[in-house]
Amino acid sequence: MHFYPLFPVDDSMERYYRHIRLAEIGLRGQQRLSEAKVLVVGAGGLGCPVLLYLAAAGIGTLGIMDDDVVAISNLQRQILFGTSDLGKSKAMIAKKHLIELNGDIQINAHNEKLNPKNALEYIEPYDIIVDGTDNFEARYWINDACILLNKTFVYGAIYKFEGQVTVFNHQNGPSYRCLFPSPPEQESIPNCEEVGVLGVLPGIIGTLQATEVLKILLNIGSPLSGKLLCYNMLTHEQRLINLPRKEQSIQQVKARNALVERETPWNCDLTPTLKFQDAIKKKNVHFIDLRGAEEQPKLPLKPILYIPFTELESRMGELSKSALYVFFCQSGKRSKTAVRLMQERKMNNCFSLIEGAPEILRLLKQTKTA
Amino acid sequence: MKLEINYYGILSEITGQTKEILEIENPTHSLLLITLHERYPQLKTTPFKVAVENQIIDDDAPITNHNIALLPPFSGG
Repeated sequence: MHFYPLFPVDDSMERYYRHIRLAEIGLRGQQRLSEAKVLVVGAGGLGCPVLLYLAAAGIGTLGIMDDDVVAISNLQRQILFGTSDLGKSKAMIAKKHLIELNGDIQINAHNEKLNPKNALEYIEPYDIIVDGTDNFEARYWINDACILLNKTFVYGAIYKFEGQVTVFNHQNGPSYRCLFPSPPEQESIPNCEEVGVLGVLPGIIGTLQATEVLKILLNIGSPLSGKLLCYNMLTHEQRLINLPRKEQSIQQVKARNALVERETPWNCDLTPTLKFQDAIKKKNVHFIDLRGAEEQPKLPLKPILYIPFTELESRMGELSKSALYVFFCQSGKRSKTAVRLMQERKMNNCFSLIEGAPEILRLLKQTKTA
Repeated sequence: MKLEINYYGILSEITGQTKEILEIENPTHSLLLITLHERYPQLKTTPFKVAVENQIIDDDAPITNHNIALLPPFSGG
């Protein structure tokens, strides 16, 4: 046995004393935690408690993946952030606070959004992946990446006053697709943003996820592999559902050997949109008309670029990262797709106008007469 | 057979309750769905899994226990 790598022995002995005192953990268990690599995707309601407890527990390498910035509406439940963090990168702020909590561990802040192109690369260096995301797409990408890379996936999800927790892809256990074979239409299941959530709920569910990570690493108790825990915080009723592994679902992912980019209609709510009246108030705004030359009415907006939707991919080089681009089309559909395309190219300075061109023209005339 | 149906997540909002008793003769997975869709048309467009005595059952399986849970996926985080 060798304890030297991450262990300045005296301090660590004291820091983790309550762990080490437990016969089920001891020095050996604590050493295992210090050698573990855990990635938390999403530093939101679920991700914050997961990160806090895993950092406190002395997980040797902790990854945080989130490209979002702290908003005031996050503070009701995302307990890693404070009022002075508003507008700052969640990943970076989380790292700052976690270093304060435990400077002995390695913390990797990935200020990136998980997507089918980067998921495998980001997940590969870690042993366990914790789901702190807020949408179905990301959960299926994590799931499939964990199948392809043989990683354990600690899943958690919430709805209003209820939560689900389980461990997927662990020691030949089932995967997310064994429970729900493919993502539902996003509109059929609203998320927290749309329906609200009691702030403490992700705290409970995230803490349960952190518990599963520690149990797995310490090899104590029985992890929730093959069992879905359904929890209702209003009644504290819990139900454990047995989940069988469906070999076919898993083999399909392996055979595809890649992540599916657009399995469902895109989640409209994830596309950054702006109302026209808000867009014109922003600084350094460039409008981009995505319609073909024949489409009417033309709009008297300045500055404006005409990039027909079909030419967008080839002309992306014309756009800079320093300006703010506001896309519009006739109905708002193409502009949404365009913004998603831009996001895939890491151009996060693009917004889709909610209104289509005829509506914008009407608003322009209204403003003039007002 | 009297079935105790437990609704989770959005299903309890659609049905207006967290559980109810339904009587279905010789119940199967598909018979249960037909009954539910008649009572609550909105369930037709809502995805969920059926668990009988805490075991997920397949689309054509018979239902042999009264303890039913209907589980939709959750997306929040």
